[in-house]
Amino acid sequence: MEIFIDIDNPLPQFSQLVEQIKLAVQQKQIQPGDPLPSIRQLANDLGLNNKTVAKAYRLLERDSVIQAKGYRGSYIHPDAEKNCTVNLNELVEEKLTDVIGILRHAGATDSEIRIAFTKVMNSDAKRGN
Amino acid sequence: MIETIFYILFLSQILLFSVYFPNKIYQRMRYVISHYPCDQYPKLYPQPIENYHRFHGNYRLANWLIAAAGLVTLILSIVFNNRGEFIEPQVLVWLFFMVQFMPVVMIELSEFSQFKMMRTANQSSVRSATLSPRSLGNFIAPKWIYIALLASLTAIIYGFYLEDFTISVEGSAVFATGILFSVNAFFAGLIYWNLYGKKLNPHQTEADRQKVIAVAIKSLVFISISASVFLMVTLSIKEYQLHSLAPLAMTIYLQVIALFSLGNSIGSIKVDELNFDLYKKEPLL
Repeated sequence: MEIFIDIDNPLPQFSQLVEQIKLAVQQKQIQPGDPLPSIRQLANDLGLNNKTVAKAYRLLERDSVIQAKGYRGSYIHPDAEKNCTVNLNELVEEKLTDVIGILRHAGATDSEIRIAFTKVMNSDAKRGN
Repeated sequence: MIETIFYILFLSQILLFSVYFPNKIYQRMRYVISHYPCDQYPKLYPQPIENYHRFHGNYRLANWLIAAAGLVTLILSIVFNNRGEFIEPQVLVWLFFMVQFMPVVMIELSEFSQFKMMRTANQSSVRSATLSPRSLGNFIAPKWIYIALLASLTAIIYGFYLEDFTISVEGSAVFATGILFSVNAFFAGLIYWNLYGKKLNPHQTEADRQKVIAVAIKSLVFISISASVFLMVTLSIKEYQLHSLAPLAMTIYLQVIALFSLGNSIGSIKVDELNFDLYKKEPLL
């Protein structure tokens, strides 16, 4: 099974990778338990930086689409097909919309919300999350 | 008697490595250029076509000159009955092999430069990769890897056995161990590079790439086994004072290397089985 990356596509390369692997799972082109190529192999084949592929694998692992098995490499998660349909980006947008709605209702301005959001994100980052 | 066998084997080395295989390679290059012409397969020729014709001619000429030099050397060795007064026969064989190897290096370097030009000329923004992992086991039966490791280990133990398991820096066993480690480490690096290294030909399909990798890995593993066997033979020759056999062992070993590398590559990869459609002109939209 082959995947394709368009380097001129405005969508980031790691996102293209994530989407294509999810699509391959949904279309049953790869099955739960199937091994994936190593980060180095995929990066060299696609002419991408190792970090780009590693980031895509990290996101897929976070979404439980793939699972890392130490030195043995990465494999398709047993529940990958189900987990592919969960779109965390949509969830984040949905939750933020709710929160922003509540804050606006309470009288906070957009500027105050942005400053507070940045402050919370930065303090979270400093704590190492 | 041994001298006659040596001369026959040396002649065989000259013919095999400077006439037979180069001729096969030359025919292959000419076959590609005539069956997959520049006007229909422009991506295959990032340089002007004259450069390819010139390179093929030079390659052929270089091999003919080396073969002629080899024959002259052989005749001189027979006429002057060289038994090491001028040059040790095994050293002569080795040096001549190095010269014979130069056109192969010429081909390899030109291949690298060809792929580099292909990558530069490749204007497609789309890149592809397989989602299947490549591992050593996909390309060679594990038994051959075990045999190669066992052969290396046996050669090392045999070397130390001949020296009553005494470890001396000046001894042959330590030297042989060093050589085997270096050769095998180099081969392991090449295998790793073949499996996971950068894709050199931007147009090559995964199926074609796997064919090339399989041939390269098999060649390297078989050469590693041959190197261990050759080392054991060399140590035995030294131990049992059979110096007259050393040139024979050397030329046989070098010819085995040629068979496993060039012979395996020519025999296993058929030009027509490769996908050349990828080098065709892209249809105008």
